[in-house]
Amino acid sequence: MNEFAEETIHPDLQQNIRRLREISDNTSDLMVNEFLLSGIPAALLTCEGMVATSIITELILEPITHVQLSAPTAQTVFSHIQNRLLLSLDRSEAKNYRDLFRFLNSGFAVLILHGASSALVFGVQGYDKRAVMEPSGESNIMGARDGLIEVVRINMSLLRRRMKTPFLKMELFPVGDKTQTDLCLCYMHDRVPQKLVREIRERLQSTELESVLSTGYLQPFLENRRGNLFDTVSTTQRPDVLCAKLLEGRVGILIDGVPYAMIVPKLFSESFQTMDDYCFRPYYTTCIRWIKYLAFLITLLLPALYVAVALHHPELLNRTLLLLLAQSEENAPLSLTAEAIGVLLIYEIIREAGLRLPKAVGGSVSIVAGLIIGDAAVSSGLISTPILTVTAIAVISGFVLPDLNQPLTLLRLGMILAGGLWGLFGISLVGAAVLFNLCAGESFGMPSTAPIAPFRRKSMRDVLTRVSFRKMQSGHFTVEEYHE
Amino acid sequence: MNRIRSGQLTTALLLSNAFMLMCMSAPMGMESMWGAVIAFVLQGILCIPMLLLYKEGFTLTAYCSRKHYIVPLLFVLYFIVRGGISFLLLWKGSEHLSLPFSQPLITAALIGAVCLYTASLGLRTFARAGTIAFGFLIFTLGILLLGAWQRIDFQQLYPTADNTVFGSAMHILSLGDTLPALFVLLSFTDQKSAFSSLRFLGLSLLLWEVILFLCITVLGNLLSAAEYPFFLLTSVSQPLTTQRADAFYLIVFVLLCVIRLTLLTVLSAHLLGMLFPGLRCRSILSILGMIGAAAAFSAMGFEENLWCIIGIVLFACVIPLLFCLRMKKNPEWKEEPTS
Repeated sequence: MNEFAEETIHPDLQQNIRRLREISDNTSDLMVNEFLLSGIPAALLTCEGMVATSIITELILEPITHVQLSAPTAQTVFSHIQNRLLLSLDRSEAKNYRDLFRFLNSGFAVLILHGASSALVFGVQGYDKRAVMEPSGESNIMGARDGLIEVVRINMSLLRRRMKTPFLKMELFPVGDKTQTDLCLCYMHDRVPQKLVREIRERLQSTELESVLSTGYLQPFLENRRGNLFDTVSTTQRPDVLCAKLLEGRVGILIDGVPYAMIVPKLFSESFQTMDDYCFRPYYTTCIRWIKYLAFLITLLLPALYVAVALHHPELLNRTLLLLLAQSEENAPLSLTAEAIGVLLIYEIIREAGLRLPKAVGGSVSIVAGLIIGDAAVSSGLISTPILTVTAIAVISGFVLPDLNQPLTLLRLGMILAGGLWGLFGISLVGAAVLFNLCAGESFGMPSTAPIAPFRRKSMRDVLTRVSFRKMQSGHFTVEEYHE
Repeated sequence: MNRIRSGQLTTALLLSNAFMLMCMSAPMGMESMWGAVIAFVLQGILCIPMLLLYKEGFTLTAYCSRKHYIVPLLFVLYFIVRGGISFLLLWKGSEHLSLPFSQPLITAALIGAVCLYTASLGLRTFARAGTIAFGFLIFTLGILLLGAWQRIDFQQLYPTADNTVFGSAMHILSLGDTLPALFVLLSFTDQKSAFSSLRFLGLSLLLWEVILFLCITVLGNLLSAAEYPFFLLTSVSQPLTTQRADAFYLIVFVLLCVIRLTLLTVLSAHLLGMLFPGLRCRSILSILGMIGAAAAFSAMGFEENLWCIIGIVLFACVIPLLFCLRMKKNPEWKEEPTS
């Protein structure tokens, strides 16, 4: 904890300014404008680049320099400004240096007065920010086009625009000793279990983090068990998705500086749902959803099954397929397991390279990977065509479920290894372990595998199928129903 | 140990039973179908004392907290022995499953390692996994029926000379070793214990009858030569003409095996924990005990026999009956200890 955290504001203006400069070590972006306010020495503190200069001039400096009281003291001037002048909608008072710096560095203008042991703060933020635009990661066809941005207050407004009910509650509080990042806890207070909100708030406020720069910093504090392969906290860039989740009694967490919202709890079945599912006709959505389930199995199991069957259980293949595989693998210099793992590792390397490189260079990575490596490896006989085809199908199927990319990448490799070493028996064993790991996932008492295990027949209407909103409109489902 | 739902109890025990059904190696005939009915009716009768006991409010946790060691230790021993028998059945069955290695110890070590992990996740996780595995089982049965229905020959349903209804009933009863597990699990289940037990027995009977019917009518004369009728049935009933589906049955078989061994490990480890709270590595001890028992049975040439039935009657009926009779004198067995 900083030594100045609880230190109250010094009533002497010059000593106060000296102390402020001392704490901030004469930082260049601290702007101090001294002037006389109704005859009392005063100073307006701002952080350069964080405030809108025109707003300060017009709405703060102009009115307060005209204040003339008959017997002015620090208290009467403050009281006059507080009660008679509505300089800003976002007004507050800082009692100590920690609060003062938090407001100052959040883009507030801070008014300090000789003789006053507190400071008045006015919200006049005017820093540059990215415009609200379509989210890059969660594109859809018929849903809304706006996505969350880095400014928490804009994100709150995006949410409020969709949810005009007074039951939507947003709680702002700072987290992170050094960054003092604003966190906004959002929930529908008529739907959410109060115990869930209380527990999340307590966990977030009890963190001893110095900084919160992304969702990953807070995620471990919201997860109940280590060793889970699958996330129990979901993230979204879309305000409409966040609204839908809040209406189901979940809690959303917006972080200042992060264009993602975290949602607690997350169910595994949500990885197969998108906003478009609720825009298209139910029969089409049901079909697409089953394709996604199939894609999940393909991306996880196909390369491993191929390796296991080809190496250990060739009797399971029909004659034509067996001859085809035997012919293509005849001249391959590497074992099938090594080939499969090698191809997948190369794919991961190429993917990582494409992600991190500048976009201009990223395109050439695809050309080198696809044309040169792929074509050359097959024509030189280093890699067989079937393994390349199987891997490509598995990888493309994985693109259908971007939410599950991380666990699937690791599990795919594990499955291939198990299939290569122990055949279908190995795949079954790893599969059983993964199934148990998935079932062990729990978020604040809500099992990840709900509504399949524990089974809820009513919820199957949005898991196995997607029924029409005529049927879904009744019932007011909340995630609390799954609590165990 | 967390509480589980009555539906989860049903699926967990049913899956455990399904593994035994897959490993059944006795001769089959129409008598087996009647034998199954009798065996499950007998199991229902054996359940009555434990249901009465739980109706009185008995809990195993309260019983163990009164420092009664012998009965829980006997249950631990029973679960370890049944786990050993399961390992033995897996070794024998694996010969028909074309595993890539022939040494049973590797099979046991791999299954043991996985069960160690799955058992460490607790009963509630096990119960949830059971629900999903139950879905797999239903799907498997669907595939099996799809492949088998065209080969069903009703003329094969005739009495056989080398089988009796009584003999079949006793054999199936000896395989129905989940009743003692039911007794322990009822302590951790929501109410509706009688309903859960009846549903479990009813569904188990249905499963047995379906498989027995398919084995008899599809395999016909092949049945007399089949060491493991279920595996032969899966080989014969292929739903696709160009592609074999045996891989799917192998996956389900291994999953059921893991579920069964996890159940036995979780129960024995939990009972050990209630008796000796300071004891660590309880799951490891249980698994090692099971593998040791399997090795011993393998050396002795163990067969499912009268001893299994005696064990089931003792743990599922006699002990609960004795508890029932002594319940009035020991009202403290009713309450859950407050922590």
